[in-house]
Amino acid sequence: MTPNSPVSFTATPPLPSSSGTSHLLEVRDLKTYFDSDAGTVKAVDGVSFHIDKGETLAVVGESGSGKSVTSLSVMRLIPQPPGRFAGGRILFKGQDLLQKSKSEMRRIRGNEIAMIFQEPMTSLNPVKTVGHQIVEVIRLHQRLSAHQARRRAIDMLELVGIPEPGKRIDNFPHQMSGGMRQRVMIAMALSCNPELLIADEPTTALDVTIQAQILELMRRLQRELGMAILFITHDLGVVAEMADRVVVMYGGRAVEEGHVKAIFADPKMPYTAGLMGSIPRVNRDGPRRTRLAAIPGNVPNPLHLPPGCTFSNRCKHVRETCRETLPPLEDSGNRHMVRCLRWPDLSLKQELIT
Amino acid sequence: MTSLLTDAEHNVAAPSSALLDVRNLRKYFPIMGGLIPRVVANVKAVEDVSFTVKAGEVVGLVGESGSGKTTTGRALLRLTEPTSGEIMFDGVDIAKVSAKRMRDYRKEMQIVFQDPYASLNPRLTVEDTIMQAYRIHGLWDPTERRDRIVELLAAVGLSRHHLDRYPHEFSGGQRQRIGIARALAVNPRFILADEPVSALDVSIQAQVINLLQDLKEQFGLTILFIAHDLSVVEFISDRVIVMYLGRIVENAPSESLYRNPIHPYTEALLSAIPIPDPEATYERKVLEGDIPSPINPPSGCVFRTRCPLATKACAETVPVLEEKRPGHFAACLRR
Repeated sequence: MTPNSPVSFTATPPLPSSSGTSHLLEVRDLKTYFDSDAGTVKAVDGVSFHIDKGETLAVVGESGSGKSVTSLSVMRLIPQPPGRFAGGRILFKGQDLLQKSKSEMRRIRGNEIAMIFQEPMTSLNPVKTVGHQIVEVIRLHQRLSAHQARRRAIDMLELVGIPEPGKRIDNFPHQMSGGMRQRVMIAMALSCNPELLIADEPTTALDVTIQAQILELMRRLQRELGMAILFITHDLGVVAEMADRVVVMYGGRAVEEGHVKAIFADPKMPYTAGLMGSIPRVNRDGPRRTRLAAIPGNVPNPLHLPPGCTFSNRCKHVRETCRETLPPLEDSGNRHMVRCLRWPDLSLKQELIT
Repeated sequence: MTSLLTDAEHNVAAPSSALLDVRNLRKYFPIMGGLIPRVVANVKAVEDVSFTVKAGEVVGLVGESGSGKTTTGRALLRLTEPTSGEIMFDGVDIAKVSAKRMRDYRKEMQIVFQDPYASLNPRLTVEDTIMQAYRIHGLWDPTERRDRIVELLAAVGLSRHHLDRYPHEFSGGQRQRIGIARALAVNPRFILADEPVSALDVSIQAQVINLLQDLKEQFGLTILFIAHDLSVVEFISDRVIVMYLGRIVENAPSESLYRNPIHPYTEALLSAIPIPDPEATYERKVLEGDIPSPINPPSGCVFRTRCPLATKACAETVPVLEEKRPGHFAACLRR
């Protein structure tokens, strides 16, 4: 319906790796749309990325960027209708999850791919003990007796650092603090040794000191268990700490992708640079800043995305062509992908310093 | 223990230019129980809090969930009645004035809420929302007020076109601007900003923080800025107060607090903020455990159960908020 749709994505360079099946997860040109009376919301509009075994990929973006819909799409948790997969593939160990039946998906979900959510209170059942809920997951996917499953649940609680796991297993969620509940969620997610853990803003609802505990726990568990993590967040500080690689999303599209160090040291897309400028970062040594470099304006209405670059209405480097042409996601060197018409002319690194 | 704290605090409370002088503020929430309901315990949300805010100053009030920062703020405006203590506003103890008199003071003390979705009436246009602020305080004058509202909207970065729109037509950041305009409408002398940017996206957060900074300069506002995270308040605050489990643990000028924190809790809070730099090498001090229950707080120093420096003495003595460096107050026996 808008002039940007399908053709433009052919401009996306084929990923050199997309031929092989070596990636644990590979999302290719995913399009998840939602139909409403007011029109079609292209929540995710042509997103591609991959995750290898044992790696952490952070998907970073603000509200409405499509980061959560991307993660829910991988889990096939998009309610249909109003949602629909309008295109693309989600390859997990070479098999397209979008082609799987409901029962096949149920075997994968919680077993090979597990997910933890932002709000540990609302994602746990308040009328069942945490032990009951972990045992349920284990027995759904593994042939274990009730007794063995309970043993395993206690081991998992111990693994995630819950004191007195033998007692805590019989607690109800309301008897635990937010940090403890998130540990329970992680224990539940990891109880079947998944190869991929999707973490959708797992620390956003937690206090900073508890967030630090949970991030440390996730890093330790990844070292010990070797699962890959798809980490969805809006916090660039968390990205810097957790990720090997980063995908920056804006308006339903990936606008920049690369290794975490390259993204932070040399952002190529004005939105990424703007996001970095607007973080209130505590600088304990340098002079105190008194102003933040805010990005003007608001995220565009997903029903009426601008035809060209979705960031064009807020970008200070905008040219007329940006409003008309949808930029392709191009390789700027070393597989640092950028979706910006002007990236070769810009020196955003310089701007960030000054 | 209370008298000690009072004496120490009075040193800070001395300057006469203090617009707000809070002394030994307490707020307990009773827990009822038993067959014949009676108070069986108290949630000690705010325990013996004293501080001052000078006219024209922006003070950040920082703490995690359960630290009592929001209850402190609400008690200052008597949106929740303080259990005890004095709240001197411009020399008058507003903790003691009648509910009717308090209305007059509410004109002087406005609040900006955390959730811009819940704090605006969905059935009122922007104009009506702001008009109500005038009406309630008997300031409504139909002939000139419309211009005044337009001026206000301009000051917060909105325009005349927005007058007839409803809250659902705005984004979170714009709604927060409306909330700020409403608070400014009655020319308050003091603004309580209760986590005004926590619900907003990072790029929008920066806009709103910059806006508050501009308004502070333009209108000479005095602001108490409540936040759960030290990073947000650094830019705007002249002074930062850190609370833990209902008590103030540190109160210092921003520069001094961020560069050289004294209290181990402030240190941990600073160290817990993820640094947006993958090359950063630093040693993180991760605090163990959770914040204890405010129903039965630890004896002595409330932070001792999680403190890496705690000794036996910390369990016995409640540390007093003392001036450890000029203008820099902290409550710690070990530092």
